[in-house]
Amino acid sequence: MAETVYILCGLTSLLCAVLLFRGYKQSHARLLFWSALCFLGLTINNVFLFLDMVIFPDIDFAHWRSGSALIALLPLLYGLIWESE
Amino acid sequence: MDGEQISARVRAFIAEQVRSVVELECLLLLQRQPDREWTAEEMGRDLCIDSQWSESEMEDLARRGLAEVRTDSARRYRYSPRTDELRQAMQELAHDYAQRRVTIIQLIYARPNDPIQSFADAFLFRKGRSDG
Amino acid sequence: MDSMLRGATVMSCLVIGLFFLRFWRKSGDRLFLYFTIAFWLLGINWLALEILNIEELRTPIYAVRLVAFTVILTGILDKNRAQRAGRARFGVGNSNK
Repeated sequence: MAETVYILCGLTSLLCAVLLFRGYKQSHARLLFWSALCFLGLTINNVFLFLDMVIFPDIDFAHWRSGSALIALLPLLYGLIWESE
Repeated sequence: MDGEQISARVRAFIAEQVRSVVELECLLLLQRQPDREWTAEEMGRDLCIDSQWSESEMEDLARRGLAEVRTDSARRYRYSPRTDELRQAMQELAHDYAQRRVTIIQLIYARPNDPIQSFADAFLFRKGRSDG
Repeated sequence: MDSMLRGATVMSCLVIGLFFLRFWRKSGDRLFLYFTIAFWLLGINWLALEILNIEELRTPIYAVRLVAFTVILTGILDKNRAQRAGRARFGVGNSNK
């Protein structure tokens, strides 16, 4: 049950990352590059979540998760501020 | 389409850096005499545009690493691409512009200049532009 | 340290949502509204994790995250369906409905 949640979240953010990378290659709009990085980061964040909750329930990944979430969002923030013209 | 004859490097450069024909003309003016420093007024006079316009173009180009600014009594601009990659792309572009001006201009105006629009378009599974 | 990271994360989500809200107003594209809601939900998710640091509440809080990503997915599908419908109406391109 919980696994499905994490997998769905991970797949959705991966889909966004892929679509945005493709869009970046087509349009060269840098906003899309930063956005794609963000969604890639969120995918990784979801993977950490999966590892934490499902695979290694004994190990606490809390720091990795919090850190990776913020690291994922920062590129998008940067792109929105500087590259959305 | 004629654009295919232009190299991928030049097309990428146009898509990323060249916002308008005026901007390109400013860059080419600088590039032709790379050791010379220009004021916005001088550029405006040479290109037959308002000096305020040339100034805003130059400030933008300087910010993006294609030109250098020096401030003494007046602000002076000089051709100064930040990387070799940019320099080479500009060289090619200058050559292409001389040979195929119309194609280059077409490419400049074909570029999707709205990143927000491009963001939305990216989520279309099939290639195209958003309707609304 | 963790608190600070969470706080920064929540704040980032808030601001990102605001940007998407502005894009929605500017472009009229509903997709941006979906992203606004999604990122604000993610912000709520991380806020809740920080404030309610209780093990039992973990699962419902993660449901918020699921909803956020479902919203994004819905937005993407909605956009593509609307695009196909628009094309069919004007007879542009091939559309397989």
